Parts: sequence; C-alpha cells; structure tokens
Amino acid sequence: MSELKVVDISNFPEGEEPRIGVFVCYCGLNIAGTVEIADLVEFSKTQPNVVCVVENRYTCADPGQKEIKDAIEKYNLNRVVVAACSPKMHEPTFRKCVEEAGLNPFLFEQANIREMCSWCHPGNKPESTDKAKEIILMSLAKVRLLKPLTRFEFPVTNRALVIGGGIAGIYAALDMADMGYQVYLVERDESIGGHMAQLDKTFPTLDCSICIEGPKMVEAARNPNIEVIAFADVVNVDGFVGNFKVTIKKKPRYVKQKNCTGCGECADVCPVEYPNKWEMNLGTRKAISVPFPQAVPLVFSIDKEHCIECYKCVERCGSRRAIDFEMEEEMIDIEVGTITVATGFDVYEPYDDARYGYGVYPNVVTAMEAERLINAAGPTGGEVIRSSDGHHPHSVAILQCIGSRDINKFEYCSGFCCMYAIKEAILIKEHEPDTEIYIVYMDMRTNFKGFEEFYRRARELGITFLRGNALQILEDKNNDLIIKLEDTMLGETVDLRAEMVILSTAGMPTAGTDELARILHVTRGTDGFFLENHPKLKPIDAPVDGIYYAGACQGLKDIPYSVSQGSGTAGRAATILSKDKVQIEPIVAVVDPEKCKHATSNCKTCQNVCPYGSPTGADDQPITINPATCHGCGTCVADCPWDAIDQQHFTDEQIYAQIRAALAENPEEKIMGFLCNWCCYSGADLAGTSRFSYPTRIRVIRVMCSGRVDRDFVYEALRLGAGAVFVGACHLPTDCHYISGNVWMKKRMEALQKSLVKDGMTEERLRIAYVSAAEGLIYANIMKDMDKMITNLGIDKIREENEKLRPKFEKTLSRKGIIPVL
Amino acid sequence: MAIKYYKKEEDGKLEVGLNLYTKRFLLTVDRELCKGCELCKLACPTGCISSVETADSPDGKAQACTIDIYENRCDYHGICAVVCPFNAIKITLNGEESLPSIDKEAFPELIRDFTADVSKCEVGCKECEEACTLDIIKVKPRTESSEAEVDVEIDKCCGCRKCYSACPTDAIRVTKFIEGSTRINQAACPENCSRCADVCPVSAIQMQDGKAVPIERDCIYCGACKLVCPAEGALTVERTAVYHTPIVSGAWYKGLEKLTSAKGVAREITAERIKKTREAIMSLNVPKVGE
Repeated sequence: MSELKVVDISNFPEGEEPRIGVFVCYCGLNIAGTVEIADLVEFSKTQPNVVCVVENRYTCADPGQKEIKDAIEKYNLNRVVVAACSPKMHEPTFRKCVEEAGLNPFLFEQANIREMCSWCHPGNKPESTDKAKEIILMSLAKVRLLKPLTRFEFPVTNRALVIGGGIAGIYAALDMADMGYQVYLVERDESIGGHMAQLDKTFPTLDCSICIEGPKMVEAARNPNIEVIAFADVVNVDGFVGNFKVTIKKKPRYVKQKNCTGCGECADVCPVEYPNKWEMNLGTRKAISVPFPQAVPLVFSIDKEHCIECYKCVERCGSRRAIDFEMEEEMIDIEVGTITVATGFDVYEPYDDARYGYGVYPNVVTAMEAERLINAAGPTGGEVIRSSDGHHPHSVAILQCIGSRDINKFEYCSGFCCMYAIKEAILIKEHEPDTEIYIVYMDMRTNFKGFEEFYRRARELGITFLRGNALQILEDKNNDLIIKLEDTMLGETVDLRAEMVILSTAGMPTAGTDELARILHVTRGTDGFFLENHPKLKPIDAPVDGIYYAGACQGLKDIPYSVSQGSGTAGRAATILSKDKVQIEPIVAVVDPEKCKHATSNCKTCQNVCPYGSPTGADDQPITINPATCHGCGTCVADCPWDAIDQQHFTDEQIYAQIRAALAENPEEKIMGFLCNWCCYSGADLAGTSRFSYPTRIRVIRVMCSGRVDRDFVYEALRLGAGAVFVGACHLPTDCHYISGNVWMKKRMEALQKSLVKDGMTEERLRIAYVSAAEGLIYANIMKDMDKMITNLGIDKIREENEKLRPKFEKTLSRKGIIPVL
Repeated sequence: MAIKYYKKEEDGKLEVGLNLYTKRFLLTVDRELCKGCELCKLACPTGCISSVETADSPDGKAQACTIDIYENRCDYHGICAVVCPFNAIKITLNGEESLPSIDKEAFPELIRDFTADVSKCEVGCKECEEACTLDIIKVKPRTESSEAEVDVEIDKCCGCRKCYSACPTDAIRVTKFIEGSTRINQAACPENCSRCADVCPVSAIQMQDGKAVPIERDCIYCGACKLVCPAEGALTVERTAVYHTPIVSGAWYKGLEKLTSAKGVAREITAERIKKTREAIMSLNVPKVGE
C-alpha cells in the first residue's frame, strides 16, 4: 500500500466568498411535469451567494454540461448545485464536469428533486414545488460549507479473483487471462463447470452441453494465467478496489493434486459408494472418486464421512503416491485488484409443497433430475424411465412455474424454465416418439433469439401445451399420476393422467449467498440475489468498487446471457486492472487531536465501533485514523463522546446546516430523514423510480451509513421543531455496507428513543427502519404511515411535546457549542 | 433429489434401505437369528448400529438386547453382515445379495470350520443335531447299510462346539473363530442375578448356587451377556484373536482393534510378519540344518 497523499486544501483560501451556480434540470417532463421550474429558478436567485441560475432541458446531456462549464468560467463560480435526479445516478457525471472546468469535484452538490420529489409526488401540486425548493435550499446550505478535497491514490494489484467456476466464472477468467492478467478461479465444489456441466443439451440449438463447456473448462485449467483453486471457499475479504486481500480456505481432498493422474484405478477398488450429489442423488459415487468423468481439475477426492479406510486405493495408487490421509485444510492468502462474483444458483426442490407429492410419489421428478435421466452419461444411461418400475413412461406431464411466479414462494419468473421444458419435451419425444407429452404452463415466455422457433418446433412435433395451473397431483395404485389442473382456457378443472411428472422448478439464490454478501459487504435484493449498483447502467457492478457480478448470482439467466456477463465483467475489471493507480474517495474520518481524549481518559470508543481497525494510537497519544483502511461510514464520528472526529464531505457543520435549512419553515409538518446511502437512500430512489406516491413531508439528508447519524442531529431537528425524525438503514444483521454501522445506530437510536419517550415524546416521532435498496414500496408505505401519524397527532400536540423537550436539547447542544449559549 | 432413506420393522425383520433412482440398497436384520451380541456394533466403521435394551420377559428372565440401525448413516458395505456370528444380517442391491467389502477385499471372511468324519458315526446317533443350540445341523443317522450324512448350515455356525462336546465318538471338529476369555467376578454380581445366563445364545453361562459361572469351552465371546449385565466390573469379555481369510486392509485392522484390542492387532501384525519372513526364507531354498 502506498503512502497517502496529504489532503490538499490550500487551493481554497479561507474566507473566500462562495459564488454558487444553481442548475435546474427539466429532465424532459420528468421534473418539469410536476414541479414549477420557473418558481425554482426565481427562488434560487433570491438565495444568498447564488450568482447564477440556469435551467436546462437535460443537464446531464452534453449541452447541459457545457452550460455548467461555461457558467463556471463566466461567473467565476466556486460552488455548483445541480437540482436534478439522484446523486446515485449522476453525481459522478457532474463531478467530472466541474472538474473539467477547473473546479474541485467535491465543491459540487446535487439536489435530488426527481426520485425524491417529482416522481414520488405526482400531480402538479404546489407542495411538490415547495418541497423541491427546500431540497435546493438544503443543498445550498451544504454547498456553502463544502471543502475542496483530493482523492487518495493507491497502486493497483493487477491480478483478479473470480469466485465460482460455472460458465460465467470460466468466461470471466478466460477473458481476463487473455488480456494478460493473472486470475485466481475459486470453486466451491470439486470441479469447475457449474450447472451447465449437468445438462444434457442446451436450448434452442440442442448442442451437447458438456461437449461445448468441457473444452472451455480444460482451457481455463491449462491457461498459464489462470490458477484454478477448486474445493475451496472464500472466507475473508479485506481492503478496497485495486487492493483486496482475500483469504481462501481449501478443503482437503486427501489426494495430492500434483500426483493424481486421474486414472481412476482407486475408484475401481473402493468398496464404498454413496449418493452422488452432482447426479442429483439419482446415482452413486465411490468414497474416492470424481463427481463426473469430465471434472476439471481431474483430481480424485476422498469423502471421509464414508471412507472406511481400507487403504485399497493407496495400495492401487502405489508408486504414484497421490493419496494422503493426513492432508489438512489449507489457508491461502492472495492479493487481487478486482473480484468477480459468479456463484450461480441452486435448484429449488419442492419438498415444502405437498400439492406436488415430490419426494413422496416415485415418478415425480424435477427438471434437473429429468436432465440427468435424459443424459447418456447419467445414472440410467440416457433412458428416461420411471423410478417405480423401470419402464419408459407412455405419457409425461411437464408442469411449469413450480415455485416461480408464486407469491408464496419466489415472486420472480425464473426465466429459463419455459425453454428447458420445451427442450426436455423435444429430447424425450425424439428418444421415444410414442410418448405423449403435455406441458402445463401459465404463460410460455420464449423471447430471445431462436426461442420462439424452438417453441413452434415442439408444437409441430406433437407436444401438447395446456394453459393452466396444476392444483394437485394424486397417485394411483400403478404409481401413475393424476394431475388435477385448472384449465384456464376452458375455465374448468380437468384431470390429466400421466405416467411420469416433471416439475419445472425455480432457481434460487445459492446456499451461502448471504455469507458471501457479508464477506464482501455487498447487498442482496428482496429475492435474495446480489443487487447490482444500477439496474440499467451498472448491471454487473456491485455497489462496492472493484467487485462485479456475472451470471445467475445477480438474478437467474440462461447460458448465453451468463457468458456475456462473464465477458462483461472481464471488461469492467480491466478498467481497474489496466491502471497503475486507483483513486479513492476522500470522505474519510479525521480526528482533531486537540479534542481527542484518548491519551488522558483511555477512551477507546472509536476503536470499538470501527469494524476495520482504522483508529489507532499509542496510549499517550491522540487517536489517528488510517485513511487507507477507513471506509468512510462515520460511525466513529457519531459515537465519539468528545466530538473529536469529523467526516470529510459529511461534516457535522454541513449536516446541521442541512437540518436548519430543511426545518426553517413549518417544521412541525415535516419529517427529518437521515438515509444511509447504500440501502435506504437507494430504496427511496426506487420508490421514486417506481412512481410509488407518498406524502411530501420527508426532507432527506443522505449519509454514507446510518452509523453516522449522531444523536445530536436528532436533538437539533427536534429542537427546531421537527414533526418527526426518520432514520433509514440497511437490514440487520448483515446487510450493512460497512459491516456493523447499522448495529451501532440501532443501539444508539433505541436508547435515545427510550429516553425521549421518558421525557414525554410520542414514541413514533423517532422512527428507525431498515429498508433495502429493493424495497421502494416499503419505503413509500413507511412514509404514508408517518404522515398519518403526524396528522393524527396534530401540530399542537407536536409543539407541546417539543416545548417540553426544548430545555433539554438546548442545554446539551449549547454545552457542545452546536448552538450559541442562550 | 433428497436421499430417500427407508426403515421398516415387520414380520420379525428390521429393514433399512436407501432408494436411489436406479439403485435400491437394502439391509435386513433377521430378528430371530440376531442374538443381541455386540460384534456388528463394534465392527461397523460408520457407527450406525446401536444396541437397544429389551424389557424382561413376563417370567422375569432377562432378554438379549436388539440392534437398531440409523438408516441415514449406513453405507451398505456389509461389514456387519460379515462379522455376525449368526448370519442375521443380509445386504442386497436391487434384490441381489451384495457384500462390497468382501468383493473389493476390504474385509476378510471369518473362518467357520466344521468337519464331521462320518466314518466314525455310530448307528442311529443324532447327538450332534440334538446338541446344536441354533438347530443348524441336520443328521441322517448311520444305518447298517449306509453312512451317516451330516448337513450343517455353515454360514450360521457360531462355533460354540456343543456338537463337538456331545459327539460320543470324536467325529466332529469345530474351531472357534474368535479366541478370548469371559470372566465373571461373582463377588460383584448382584444377589440372585442370572441375566447373563438368561441371554447367552449358546448356554455358555451356568448358574451354580445362585452364582453365574462361564463355561469357557462353549463361549463364543460374542458379548451378548456383557450388554445386559447390571453390575459394573462383574463380567468381562475379552477377545484376543479372530480367525479370518488372508487380508491386507486398514478397515480390517480398525475393526479388529475394536473387536479385540490394540494388542490383538499387534499380535496379528506380528504373526503376519513372521509368516512373511518365513515364507521369504523358505523361498530362498536355504538348506535346512543337518542337510
């Protein structure tokens, strides 16, 4: 890690008068349709320090950006406010724009009047315009106090890590390796290949799956730039973009990789067999074996659970000496610049749904099991036979949407089931042409190249498509199945008899997704899959810089889509790996050594709350915070009992200014909201994007983490008369982007709430909520709820409570010097 | 697909199964043949067998333990079936008998040795058939015109040698396949306790003056008595050696250690080594002393 560049604030002389330019964006009709832009412009002109106000049709477009640059030059602006969309959308765009015009990029502030105002308060109401004005007012209050900052620079480790060796991970690794970067490909199972290796054919071309994937698996293993670390888990990740430190735990195979030739003689002599999970437990494997013959790396492994230690394999292996019963798990530490997550999905097995009799009736199988039955290398040698009697079924019913599109199970459409059902139907039909095949579907979804043609081909082959929902499956004494289904074309219930049933089950987030999300500090959506940074413009980027998602771990997708994303992440990673240096946002915490009492009182509060171990200091010295490891959550800032720490770009001074601006008028009617950047702010943005309408009371202050929300902020808001205070955070326990910021916030705010309630405040006036980036609807509902609460309480009651509490607030805040002594 | 385990107790049989799509593993314990000893439990490498105590019979006699099997731990390699002295355990794969541990030479077979020299049989004598505790000897007695025919279900012979003791003409040779000793410390026995004698499958414990006395001659060291003994230290069963077909297998030494002791394994390994050394020397064609 390099020496840190000292933050350079010299180019901004103290006391220079702010000269602010305000740029109000129409965003077509997205903002202008709801908010009176002319009013905003007139309002902005009257504000102190504002020297120019410009309205743009699209500020983010080239002409809009040019106007900003021109105005900076013409009016000698030293501060810029753009009132437009969410900063999560275009803050980087505008920062770059002002930087190009010679202004420090941290002297820019964005007023979010689209997602947080025009989109969520539709109808051309005066309240929306009023709210937009106040949002601009808050931005102006902050922008006046902004300090120019310099980004930190660190050298980049130009190696990459890919987690997950399915087809997406393989392509990510191959492409990065071909660009010349060294790649570690970590796979949890014994072999790379993922689900694609289990499939028989692929839709819609009916290519043999392993025949096209196998060579790629071998290529990945042979590429000198790729190191495949199979049978291993990522257990810890530290660091930041360009400089990740990763710990990998490699499970013992009890067979030495470098000595094993993959001949398989050991498996021949092994007396023990156990169900093969890779074969969906349809067949068995030996206690020393590979899950499938094409495994890469082709190294056998011993399952100690089942091995009886007869050492017949050792005897047979002989002078090759590959078997080592003493092998222990190995910890591997690596340093990489980027991480690609390609952990894929799991197949749902509907044991919990008694309607389908899965696991009870022998002739009901899932589609993945049917895939293994159709596969010539599978346990039945490619014969689709019934488990009950070993005969070919004369009729097969394939039931769609098992688990998918079901509000009681998985709300989403799994996307690939329609196509694999058609594929399996065609394969069975080709194998045994006299088999009657029914596909019972809700909607056939055959978009994408060649899919509709494939669907037609199935219909022409004589496969029967029935539109309806399977209600229940019953079994008769011959183990044939009777499917009670609601035929939605006929509008009546019909019985369908079939000798075998294939359930097209959903895909779901793979086991361990939550664990990995915790290790990487990335968020997951309500569906459990990893959540991308932006659904449209950063679909393969994680919210953490330098981490990317490829394939089904981000949401279910088919093979070509996964391959594209794998290659896509390679391109994204190369944007980091190809550079010598990476820049880090300077929004770190800084200690004022004058105020820090570490030396005298042995206070260790900041060290206790920091999950990264950034605050350090000798016993007789004040604390210093290492900016390289500080992630900028601000939890220590809020918890410091001496107010000795401040966060750059989110200083106490700036936040108090925002609070005061927001509550300057009619404070009792307003909600003061502190939203964490990663979950709740994104959730609020999503409420806007989804056009969920809610009342206009909330005034939002964006903080990087809910851990930054100081109790004094709540005091000040209530002292100024706020109707309510809302703190929005990531879900507990593991969603916090900074590991534990929300935990400390919860502790702090719940204690505060208790004491305020004791002093006579209505409990609901301080609300703590956990809203993920995917929960726009929940955010809107909370806003409606709080609106109702304030309405029911009434302004008089709120005033009365605030009056009662005011002396307490004034005493505390004036003692700390936040407000003048009265 | 989750693995389908299966367990059923019916018609005096305990069935434990694993049903995969094309493979049906089935282990059957014949409750009638099972005498409640501890050998299978000790030999099982996965530890899926446990002994279950049985309530006393209505007349107050102790009943031998039964075994129970955790169906989700069994791997069906058949080590239990091999060591069962009474052949009470059967393992099948898709309906056919299967003993992979024997087939792959991971475990030896026990040497059950019974020979009858029918030329020595007396006319009309069926002593051995009557003496057999397990009713596995069928004798067609010698007549004036024909020789006797002695038929024994050798798989089930536990080597108790009751037949040998009963034979009036020394025509029968039986070797025990387990060597060892069973000792009872009568001082530690509870008053009037005859539990060990009640359960002994080969009647190798007798009650004398209200005290249990083991009969070493008949004992097969199966340990059924030990499992029902209520007093600690009153009864010890010690196995020292097991006779088996030649084998080189770690699983066997592990099993042997549990059946006998570390000493038992050491003894067997020493014996092997001596045998090998001797064979090596012999193969060198060294002239014998005096030649």
